[in-house]
Amino acid sequence: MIVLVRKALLVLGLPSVLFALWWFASAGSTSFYFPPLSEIVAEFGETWTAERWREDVLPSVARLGAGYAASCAAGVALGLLIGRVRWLFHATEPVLEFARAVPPPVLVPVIMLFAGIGDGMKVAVIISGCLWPILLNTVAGVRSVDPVQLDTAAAYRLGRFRTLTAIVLPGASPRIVTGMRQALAIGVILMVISEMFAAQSGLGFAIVQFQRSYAIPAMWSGILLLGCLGAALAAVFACVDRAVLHWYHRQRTEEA
Amino acid sequence: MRRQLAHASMSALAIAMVAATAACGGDESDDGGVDTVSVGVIPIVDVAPVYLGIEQGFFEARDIEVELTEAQGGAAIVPGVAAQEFDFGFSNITSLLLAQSSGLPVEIVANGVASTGVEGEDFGAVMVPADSPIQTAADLATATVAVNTLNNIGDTTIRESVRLDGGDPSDIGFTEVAFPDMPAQLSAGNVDAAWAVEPFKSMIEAEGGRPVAWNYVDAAPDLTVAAYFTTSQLSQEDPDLVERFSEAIAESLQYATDNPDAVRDILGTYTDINPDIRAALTLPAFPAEVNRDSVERLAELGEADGIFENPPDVDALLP
Amino acid sequence: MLEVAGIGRDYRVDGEVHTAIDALTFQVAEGELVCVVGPSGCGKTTLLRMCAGLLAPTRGAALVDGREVDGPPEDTAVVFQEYGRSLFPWMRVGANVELPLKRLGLTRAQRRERVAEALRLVDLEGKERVWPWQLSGGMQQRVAIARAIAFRPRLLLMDEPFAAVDAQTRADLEDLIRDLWARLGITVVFITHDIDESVYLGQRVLVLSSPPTTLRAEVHIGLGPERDQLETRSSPAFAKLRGQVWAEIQAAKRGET
Repeated sequence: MIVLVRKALLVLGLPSVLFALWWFASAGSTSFYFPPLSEIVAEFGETWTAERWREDVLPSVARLGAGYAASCAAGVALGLLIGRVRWLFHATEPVLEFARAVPPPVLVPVIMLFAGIGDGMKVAVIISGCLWPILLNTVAGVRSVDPVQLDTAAAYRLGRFRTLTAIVLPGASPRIVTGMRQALAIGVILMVISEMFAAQSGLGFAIVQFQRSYAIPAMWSGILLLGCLGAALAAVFACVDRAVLHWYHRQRTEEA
Repeated sequence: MRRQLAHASMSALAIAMVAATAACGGDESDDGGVDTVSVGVIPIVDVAPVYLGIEQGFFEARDIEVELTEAQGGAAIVPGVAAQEFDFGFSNITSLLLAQSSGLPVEIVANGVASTGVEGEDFGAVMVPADSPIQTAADLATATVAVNTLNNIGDTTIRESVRLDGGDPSDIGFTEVAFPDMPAQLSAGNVDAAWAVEPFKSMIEAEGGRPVAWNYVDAAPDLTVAAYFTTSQLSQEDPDLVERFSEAIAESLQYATDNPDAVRDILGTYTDINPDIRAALTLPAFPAEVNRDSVERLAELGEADGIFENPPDVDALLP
Repeated sequence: MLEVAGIGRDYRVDGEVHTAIDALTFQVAEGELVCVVGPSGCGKTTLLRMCAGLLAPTRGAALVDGREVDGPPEDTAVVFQEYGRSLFPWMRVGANVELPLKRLGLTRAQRRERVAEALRLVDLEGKERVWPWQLSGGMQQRVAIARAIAFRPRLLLMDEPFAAVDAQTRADLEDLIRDLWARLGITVVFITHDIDESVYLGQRVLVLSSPPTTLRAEVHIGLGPERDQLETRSSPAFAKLRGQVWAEIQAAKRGET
């Protein structure tokens, strides 16, 4: 129990301190673009009504979820294939590195051309950024599976499917999860960016519109909400990570 | 896990701080009697008079050295002026009304650009593809219409066009699309109509598009579309500079009105518009004075559409 | 059971052809425990991999039960030297031992029973729920051995399995192998660099030459079925046999024919 309380204090400690600092530092502010934190917090409840949650926040998160899930599925599937088939790896590696180097915001006008301006475009933008870390990390993970483990699988004639599911995938999973974590951070950013072009609703869209119409406290409240959303997603991810990779984390602590 | 949470909180704060514009000091170095002013403009047709004025020495004659900074859009210029990064800026009237009604102390110092006031021959219109079933403004009532900024001059004036044509504007699906992306989005069919200003209007026409509504003409007679502005602080601190600047702008506007070919030529120096389009596009009007009635009309239209949180004070905004 | 007929393996290095194994021919009868020794670099592991179907020979062939090996043969299990890397850290001990059984068409109860029996035979009874990385090196190798015998192979190939284990544990594991072999009647081919071990364990010791490798000598170990770490190893017969093998290996190193 004490351990949990201590942990909670550690986790919430720094943010609370920063929040308090911000509060007092901005208390008497008359600057238009840096209003007092108290005003932003007051604005928070007024701005983020149930209707806004339904019409802006939830659709954004849903699009992020769809794009992220698609990236995970495609990234792992393609990564497994490319990682296991040697000539495929050598053939695609330069193309993949090229594609991953192009920043997605630059691609948005191009994506708009063939994906239109609706939800499809936004999900496509998210995928265009999230796919690469997952794909490339999966390839790296697959290629770094211990050859002795693969020999064992071959010697016992486990078969391609079982080798893939029981050995390659779990063996590569630490790297895959790393890729998925990177992709999550990228996904949140792209969720906002995709809504800066040709959008009609969304969290990022709302923040940008607040800025455009000089509703600055509301804009800040949106930014705060976005930050909290990112933190919440990271926390959820950490739980999933611990569940899936508990053997990995325990092995590393117990071996060392 | 705690690392990740702390990290995410810090990132959120960092993003927040970067997102707000940095406040820099203004630069008005007094160089032996010559004032250097920074002016934020958008590299579009509308600001040709300023470039002409610099070229013709109208500012120099009044001991002003102009440093032009090109910005993406009004959204970047107004904060820039408010933060004193620019001394003067160029922005559309509705944006300025929005800023003023939100408490930003902005003041118009000179006219910028106006509608020609002639239907069929203005520098901005609502365009549709050649084969579109939309024929008149009223047909826009159930369409998706692209505008460059939501809750701004585009959608408020277009709603007026629809109203005047007997249609109901409450269900129009306005979508924000940057002007340069409009030709492509229109031909791809992702939007039913697009409000485009020059040169994009001519580009759409070159692809076969046609206009269905002249929203600048419909909103008010001789509509003032955009103006040059500054902060109340500058106009109080240095009224002489502001006055000289306005005079220089007025002279530039007059010159632009008298020399339309010079306008087309100078466009080639600060934009990438190709020569054919430059020769064909419709130029806006450059009257020397702001049309006060049209500004009030825009305030009314904006209030009717509910874009202002508080009613704007038109007198405080106008010189 | 296992027949090696003129097997050879070449490698290409920078365009040049190096012959690792020239031609090896020998037989292992069913139920035999045969050890293979040779000087360092003579290709013992290469030989084992070719017999296990993990590597294709350049010439000649290995035959298991009369059938040419052209992929891992049925009823064959392999125990590698690197036990830490051959067990899967995301599975508990029981799951590791059970994995090869999954394609044998057994029911879950049957599999569980085989796993329990195998763990008992290697003296790890009841350790199904333990994680492999919680075990010592010797115990991990026992798990690998348990995995092999749960599979009930007819041929067991072991590639220097005790080289990475400390001397005391090695002694225990050697006895374990002899015990299992006696009980289960498996054919065992045991690769080692340890001469003493090869004499202690085997019924026959095959001595390889230096590359290009051929079979140098075959030493028949007539020490009897009951062997003991202390007594057998200190017997004069053991010393003589060991000397024989040692002499062959020294000659092999010097490149004598």
